[in-house]
Amino acid sequence: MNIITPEKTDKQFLEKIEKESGQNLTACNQCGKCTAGCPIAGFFDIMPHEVMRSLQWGLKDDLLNSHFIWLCVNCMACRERCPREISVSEVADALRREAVKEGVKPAEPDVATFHKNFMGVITMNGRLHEVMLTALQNVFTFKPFKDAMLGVGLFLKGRLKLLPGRIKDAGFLKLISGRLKKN
Amino acid sequence: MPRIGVFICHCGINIEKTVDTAKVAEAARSFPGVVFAADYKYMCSDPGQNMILDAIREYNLDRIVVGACSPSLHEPTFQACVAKADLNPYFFEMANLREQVSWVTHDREMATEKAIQAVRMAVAKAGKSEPLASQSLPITKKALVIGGGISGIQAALDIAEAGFPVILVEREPSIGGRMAQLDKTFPTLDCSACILTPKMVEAARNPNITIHTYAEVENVAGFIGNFEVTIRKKARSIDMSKCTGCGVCYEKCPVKVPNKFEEGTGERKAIYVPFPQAVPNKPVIDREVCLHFTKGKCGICAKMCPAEAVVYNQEDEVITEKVGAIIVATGFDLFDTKRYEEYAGGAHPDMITSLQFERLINASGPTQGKLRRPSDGKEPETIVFIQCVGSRDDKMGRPYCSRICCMYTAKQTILVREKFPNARIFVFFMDIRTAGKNYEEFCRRAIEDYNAEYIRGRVSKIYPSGDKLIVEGSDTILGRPVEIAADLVVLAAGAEARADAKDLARMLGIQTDQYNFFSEAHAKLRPVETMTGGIFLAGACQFPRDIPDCVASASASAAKALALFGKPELASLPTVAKVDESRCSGCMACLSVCPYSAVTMEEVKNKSGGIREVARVNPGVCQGCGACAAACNAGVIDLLGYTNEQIACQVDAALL
Repeated sequence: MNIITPEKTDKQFLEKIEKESGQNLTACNQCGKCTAGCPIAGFFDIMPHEVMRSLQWGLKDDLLNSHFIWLCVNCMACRERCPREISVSEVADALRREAVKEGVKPAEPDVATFHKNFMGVITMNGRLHEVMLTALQNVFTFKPFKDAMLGVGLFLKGRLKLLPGRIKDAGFLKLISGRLKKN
Repeated sequence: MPRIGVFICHCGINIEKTVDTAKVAEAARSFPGVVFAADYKYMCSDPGQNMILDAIREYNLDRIVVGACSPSLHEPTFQACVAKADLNPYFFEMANLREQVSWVTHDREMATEKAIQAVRMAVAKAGKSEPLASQSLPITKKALVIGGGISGIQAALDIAEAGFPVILVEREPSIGGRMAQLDKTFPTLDCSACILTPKMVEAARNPNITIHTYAEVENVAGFIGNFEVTIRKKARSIDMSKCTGCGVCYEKCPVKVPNKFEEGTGERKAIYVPFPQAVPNKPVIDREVCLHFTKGKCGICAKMCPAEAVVYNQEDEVITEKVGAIIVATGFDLFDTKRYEEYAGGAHPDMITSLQFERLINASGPTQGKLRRPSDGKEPETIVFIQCVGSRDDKMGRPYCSRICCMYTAKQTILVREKFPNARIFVFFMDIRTAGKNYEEFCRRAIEDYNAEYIRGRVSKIYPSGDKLIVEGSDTILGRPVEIAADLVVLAAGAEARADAKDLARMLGIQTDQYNFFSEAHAKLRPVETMTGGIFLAGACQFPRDIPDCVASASASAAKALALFGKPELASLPTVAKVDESRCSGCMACLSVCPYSAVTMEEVKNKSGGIREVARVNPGVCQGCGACAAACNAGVIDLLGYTNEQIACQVDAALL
C-alpha cells in the first residue's frame, strides 16, 4: 500500500543518512529548485525534492529500491543552487552506499555493475583504463561487442592504449584499496 | 452671472492619450458663464496651479472648474489653490476625465465627447455653487477604549501617558483578554503573563485611566470630539471598596462550573476571579449558577467574607461619560471547531483547540502545565497538530488566512518537545505563513531543532479507534495518503469576528466587512481609522492579528486619538445635509436612513403658535453621504455643495 504511516517510517535511517551525507536533511523546505534544475530529473522515478521529503519521513525501502539513487550523475547542479545549501548529490551517494551495504538488489543493475567495475579498475591500477573498464562492463552486462567498432576507430586514431598504466607508488595504491575495502 | 474658468489637465498622457484636451478646452469656451479655458500637461503641478491663480487675477474669475483625475485625489490641492486667490474653496468644481473617461476606453473620439459633457456638467454645477464654511466644534479631550485586551491596554496607556484621561471598558471581570490565556509567545518564547501583567498593573495604577471591568458599552451618541457613551457596570455582587481579594469566598463556594477563561478545560466556582493575576483581583458572582440566586440558598461566601464585601442585592450601575474619541479593541472569537463534522465533530476529549492547548500547557492552568490526554490522563506519545481549521476554507465561510495559527502552532510544537523529548509531533499544513520579524527562523527552528514533522496537506478525516484518534491526511509533496494514530490532536482554530461585532458596529455607526470584522477607512492609507470620525480600531477586531501587530495598531490608534486631542477645536465638514425646516413635513424618512444618527426630531413653533415636528441634521455628526436628501419625500433636504438645484443643472447639462 502506498499509504504512509508513522509505523512504516524509520527515523534512524534519516539520522544515518544525515550523518553519512553530511547534509542537514530537515533543512529542506521543499522549494523544488533541485528538481527544477536537475538535467536528468525526467528519467527519475523519485524526483530530487521527493527524495528529500521521503528522507524526512524515513521511507527507507522506497529510497533504497529507487532508480534515482543509481541514475543521479552527481553533476552537483542541485547543490550549487539549493537555497538551504543541501547537496542532494551527496545524499544520493550516501543512499547508494547504504543500498550496497544492505544488499538491496539495485534497481539499475547496469549502473551498479559499472560502479563495481570502475572501482575494480581503479583499485587494480590506481588510475582509469578505458579499454579495461569498457570490456568489463560489456562482458558483465552480456553485451561483449557493444563498443567494439568504436574501440577500433579510437585505437586507429591513437586515442586508446591497449594496456593499462599503473601509478608508480604501489604502496600508496595498496593503502587506498585497503581503506576502500574497510569502508 | 458667474465668471467661470475651465482648466483641462493632460495628466501626462493619462488623459491626453485618449482625450483631445485642446478640443475639450475649446468646447468649454462656449459654455454659458465660461470666460476662460485652457489645457495643460499637469494641472496639479506648481506651474499648473500658478496658471489658475494668474487666470483668476487676469480674467477676474469667481468659479473654477478643473477637468483632471478623481476628486478623491486632487480636490484638496485645487481647493487650497483657489483659496489662495481669496475664493471660497467650494467655488471649485472638478470633472473626472481620467478614472471615468480616459482610463475606461480607447476610443479617442467618444472619450473626447464624454469629456466635453463631463466638463459641461461641472460648469453647470459650478454656476450654482454657494460659499460654504466649516463650523468650529469643541473637543472633549478624553478617550473611551472598548476592550481590555493587550490592544485596549496599550491604546489606553499611550493616551494616558500623553496626559489625557481614558476610560477602559472590559466586559469580563478582569482586563487581560486573549493574551492572558496564552502560555508562551512567539517568536521569543517569553511567557505571555510575564510580559502582559506589568502592563495590566500599569493600566490599573495610571491615574489617567479609569477601568470598568464586568461592564459593557450600551449606547453611543454624538460625534467626533463630542461623544456621549452609556456604560452598564454589571453587578459584581461585591463591594469593591471593601473586598481585600483574600479569596476565602471562592475557596468555600460549593458550586463548580466550567471555566470560560480555561476554555472549558478547568473549573471555577460560582464566585470567582478568572485567573490569579486578574486586574482587578477581586471576585465576581456568576448569578446564573450561584445557589443564592438560583435557589435562594447557600450564602456561604457572604458568611465567610471577613470584610463583609459580598452584596447580593447589588444592582447594575449605568453611567454616562463624555468622550472625544473612541478606540474599539474588542478582539476576536475562536472558530467553532465543532463545525468540522469530519473531525469527529470536534468533540472527542483527546481533540483540543489551540487555545485549550495553551491552558493545558500553562503552569497556571488546570493541569499545572502537565500536558496529558484529557480522556485517560496518559502522556501523549504521538501528537498531531492540524492547521487551517476554520481558515482558508470557503465551505466554512472563512476563506481568509487567520495569520496567527502558523506561528502559534510552531510555538506549540516547541512547547511539546520541551516536555516530551521522545514524542512524535506531526503538523499538517497547507502553507506555512511566517511573515514577521524572526518568524521564518522560528518556524525552521521548530522543524530542524525541535524535530516537528511538518506534512504538507490538509486532513480529511479524524475518527476514534481504540484509545487513539486516526488522522487521515495526505502528503501532497509525495502525492501519497498519510494515516497517523494520534494520542492527542490539536486543532489550530482560526480567528473570527466577535459574535456580537455587528451589534457594536451598529451602535457605533461604523462599518464591518463580509466577515463582520470592523472596516478601516482605507485599506492602505487609513488603516486604524473608521469611516466615522473619532472612532479608531485597534487589534484583532479589525482582522486577525498577532501580539506585535495588535500593539502596533493600538499605538497607531492612540496616535490618531492624540492628534485629535492636540487640536484646539474641530472644523466641521461643510458639505453636510441641511433641512429646510419651514417646508419639512416631519415624516422622518431621513431619520431612518441616516447611517450616522445625525438626524434628530425637533419641535418647532408654527407661526400660529402650534408645535410641529421637523427633522434637523447635526452638522457635526453628518458625514455628507446624502442618503437623507435622496430619501426626503418633500425634497426639502439639500446636501450642501450638492444641492438639488445643482444636481438638476448637471442633469440638464448632461442631456443637452
